[in-house]
Amino acid sequence: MSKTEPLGGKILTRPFLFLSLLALIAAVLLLVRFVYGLGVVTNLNNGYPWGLWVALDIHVTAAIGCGGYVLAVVVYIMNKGEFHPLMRPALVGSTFAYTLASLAAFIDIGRWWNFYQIALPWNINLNSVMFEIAICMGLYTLILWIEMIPPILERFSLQKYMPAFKKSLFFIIPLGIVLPTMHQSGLGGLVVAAGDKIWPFWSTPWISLLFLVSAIIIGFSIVIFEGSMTAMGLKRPLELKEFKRLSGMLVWVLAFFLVVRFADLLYRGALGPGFQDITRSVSFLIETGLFVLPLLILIVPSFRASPRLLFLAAASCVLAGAMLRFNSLIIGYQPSAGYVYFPSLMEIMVSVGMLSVEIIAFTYIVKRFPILPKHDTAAKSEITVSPPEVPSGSAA
Amino acid sequence: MDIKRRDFLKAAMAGSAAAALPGAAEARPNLEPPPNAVGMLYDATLCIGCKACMVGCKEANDMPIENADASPIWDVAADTSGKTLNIIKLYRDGTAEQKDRETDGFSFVKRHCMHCVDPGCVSVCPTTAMRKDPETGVVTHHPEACIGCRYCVWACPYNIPKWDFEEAFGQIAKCEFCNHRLVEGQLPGCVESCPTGASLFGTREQMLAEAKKRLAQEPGSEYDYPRYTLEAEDTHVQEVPHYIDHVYGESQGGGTQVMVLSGVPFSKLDLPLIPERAFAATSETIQHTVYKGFVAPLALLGGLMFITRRNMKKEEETESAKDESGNG
Repeated sequence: MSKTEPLGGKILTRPFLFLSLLALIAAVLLLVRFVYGLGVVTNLNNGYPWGLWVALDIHVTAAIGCGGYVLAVVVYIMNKGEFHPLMRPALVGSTFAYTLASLAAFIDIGRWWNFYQIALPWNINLNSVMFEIAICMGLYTLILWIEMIPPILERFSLQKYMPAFKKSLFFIIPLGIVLPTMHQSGLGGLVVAAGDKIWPFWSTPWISLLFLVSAIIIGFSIVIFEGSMTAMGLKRPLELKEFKRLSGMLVWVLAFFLVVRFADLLYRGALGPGFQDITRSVSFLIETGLFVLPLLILIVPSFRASPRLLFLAAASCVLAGAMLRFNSLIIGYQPSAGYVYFPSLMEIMVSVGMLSVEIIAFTYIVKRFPILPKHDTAAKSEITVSPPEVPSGSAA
Repeated sequence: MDIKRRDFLKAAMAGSAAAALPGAAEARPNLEPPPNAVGMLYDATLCIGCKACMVGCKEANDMPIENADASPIWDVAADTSGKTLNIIKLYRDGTAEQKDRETDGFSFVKRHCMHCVDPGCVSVCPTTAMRKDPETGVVTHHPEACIGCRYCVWACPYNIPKWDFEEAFGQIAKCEFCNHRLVEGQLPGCVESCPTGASLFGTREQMLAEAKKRLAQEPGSEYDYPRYTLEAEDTHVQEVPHYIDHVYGESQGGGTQVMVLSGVPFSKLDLPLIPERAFAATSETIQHTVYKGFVAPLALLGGLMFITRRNMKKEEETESAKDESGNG
């Protein structure tokens, strides 16, 4: 039998209604955007053609969607089945994050009615990093929805189709690892073609690797972050034992990131020229601090056992990855003279609305579909001992 | 557990080793100018800032007027934009007493597409909506294929392609060297309307030779400056100014087909001093190293499939063993 179950409970809670209102505001603003154009809703201009929607709603959201990617590696490749109970909630988070990132891309492109042109064989430009990202992200979003099939089958009592689905997994799961590896590095690779327009801190041929590794860092962290939020918001016990072990792996990834980051900065001699500008210096220091802080916390084994410190470290990692993206794409970007950019209130409200949709969707799904692991309520233990074997009914 | 970790590392290395080594494989060199590359030479010292070229450009390309500062009378653009493909800008310093002098002087500069020999916009466009003519080298834009991602706007080292943010159904606008006129044997709108020969049209080779000839003249001596083209036999005599000893566009970012001469440093004229290696070449080198023959992604996929399959099989065996012992 399945070891996961719908959480149940009321859907139309107060937070749900509030978030729905935010989503509704975003929907109205998007209507304005589609009728009157990008310039009416956003502060984008020809000096800063990419703004909040690109940095936050595409780049950061896609990175936040890496929980499923990272766990797939841990569970299926490193064969650590004990993390399987974390898989489904992470997949739900990833699926909505990637769906929203794809939607954000559609909203942000100026000629949305022409979007299919990117898939026409005679238009293919293999030199374009953007082409690779678009195709890989689109495919991976599809893969994520395919990986969501098991809870849907269980929800509607269609388990008889499960064996057929499980047969496809040996291909679906590896593809779901290769595609994010490709486009998460590609998202950083976008920066290379802009050359000197990017401030020295972020103008490196290694930016692809930095984006990929930071996406993996965010992937680990978002599992812990979302798990902590779910535990708090939905009043469930925390999977502390698993989080402790995940954060032990995260330490190595964080250390690797910082070694590559500073080896590159020193090799290029980028620190001297980099610190010539106060805004970018401050921004760089914040970014670096946010990467260093979780390393300092998580390197201490006893700190890894503290839900509070785990949450702080995870949140710091997510913010660090977000800063790297904002810095590489907006703050470290040098337009021609005379252009300034700060997102408009309407632009921000659209981003807020998109985030609200993700939370609404996640809450609804875990309440109505078998996503979260079954908990023995009688045990009331804060530390959950996960079942030793992988549940037979849950494939992903 | 250790064996599994080694498997994982092996599979991961197949992908990330390739992903991690920019420049390890053969680097893609800058592109070369096409055989019949057209060219333009803009000599800022000849420019009188009359903006006739802006009018000529708007006429030739049927572009609307623009009031960037809400002036009721003039067609005033602040920069090249969705409605303005060519613009005369002014550099001024201190008292702005003397033309073509850096301190207490001023200079005009004409900004539009440089028609790079190795264009970034063509390299980055995901739908090949930016194309470089294999014969003439003119960089054209094709809105019917464009999705409006604005990567060209973001990446162009000269900040030339512009998106029309005021339009709901906008498009990218950029100078196309008046390609529609070139095919009919006419001059680009800006060159045709330039009264001083500040904008001169020819082949790229001709323009480069003419620029070097001017740099070789003694400042203060007299020189026969041609108008329109070298063949037009319409010249006027001017005193040779103190040029900055460099043809802008000969080598910048792999060279451009529009080249500039000036009496003030080019960086003052919004013309960035970019390195000789085109950013597009660097970007494509990394991209094609990682994805050479698509070997790395396929190897990674194959390795991961092998491991996944084996792990899943083991898991099934453990489960069935448990079922048999009545433990499942």
